[in-house]
Amino acid sequence: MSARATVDDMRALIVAAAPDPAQARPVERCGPDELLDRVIPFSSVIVLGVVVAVEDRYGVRVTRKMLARALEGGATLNRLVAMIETARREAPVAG
Amino acid sequence: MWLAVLTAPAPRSERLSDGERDALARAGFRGARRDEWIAGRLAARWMLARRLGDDARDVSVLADPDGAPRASGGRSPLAISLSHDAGRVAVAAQPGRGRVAVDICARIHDRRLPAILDRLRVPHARRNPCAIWAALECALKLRRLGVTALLDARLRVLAAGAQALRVSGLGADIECRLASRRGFVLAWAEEAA
Repeated sequence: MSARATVDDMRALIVAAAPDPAQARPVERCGPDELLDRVIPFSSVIVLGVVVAVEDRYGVRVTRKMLARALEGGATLNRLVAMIETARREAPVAG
Repeated sequence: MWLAVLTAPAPRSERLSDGERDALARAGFRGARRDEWIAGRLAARWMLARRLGDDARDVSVLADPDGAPRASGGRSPLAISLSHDAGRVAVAAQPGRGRVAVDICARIHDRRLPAILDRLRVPHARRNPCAIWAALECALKLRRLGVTALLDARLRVLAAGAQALRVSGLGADIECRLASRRGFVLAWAEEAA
């Protein structure tokens, strides 16, 4: 999957993880380097919902360190994609 | 501690203090995030006006670098915490230099929370996941920790009486009191400075 496709995948996962998908829809149009917390209410429920979805979809384990790096200075789509790439390298789940 | 749960006020930025408007402009929030931020401050303003009277006019609710709300101005120190969810705002405040935390969890999350609690290895047996989540979020706020602290922690959330949960795994145990309502659960806690 290309980086751009993964970014688009992240947009969909975030909307799906949001309690109110309508409020999260702006993430479908924002730039990949925009701070998500400025665009939508990027709550803890969404953050951890995305972690659960990413682990399930990509067969990885997201560690505390990986998530902290993605959220440092504010999460962006590109930082979340980088988190997935790191998890694929360092923490693939067998099976 | 003073507590209030309000339907989110209309996001009328002209009702913010000058300091709050400046902070909002610097934050660069848009859309629903901006509305949420304004609604939280207006809810706080409403509660503080009821508790402090005219003294509340001098208080602004700004934000620390980590985003946690911080009361500024006024005659004496004030600890404050805000929480937003599904069109409601919860406010907790207490005079003094201690810390307070509040979290409101709408029951619309009941369906998605078990998977998150499973991931965090928090035993829940599908019993009131909103209460467990509200207590966890409340504990994070009290300790000024980000959501990442929940990953790889040895978390336990156990009953501590009829209307309280004790959170272990984020430093010293934290007792969160609870109020369960039809549409939401409210958790709050306090700690000396």
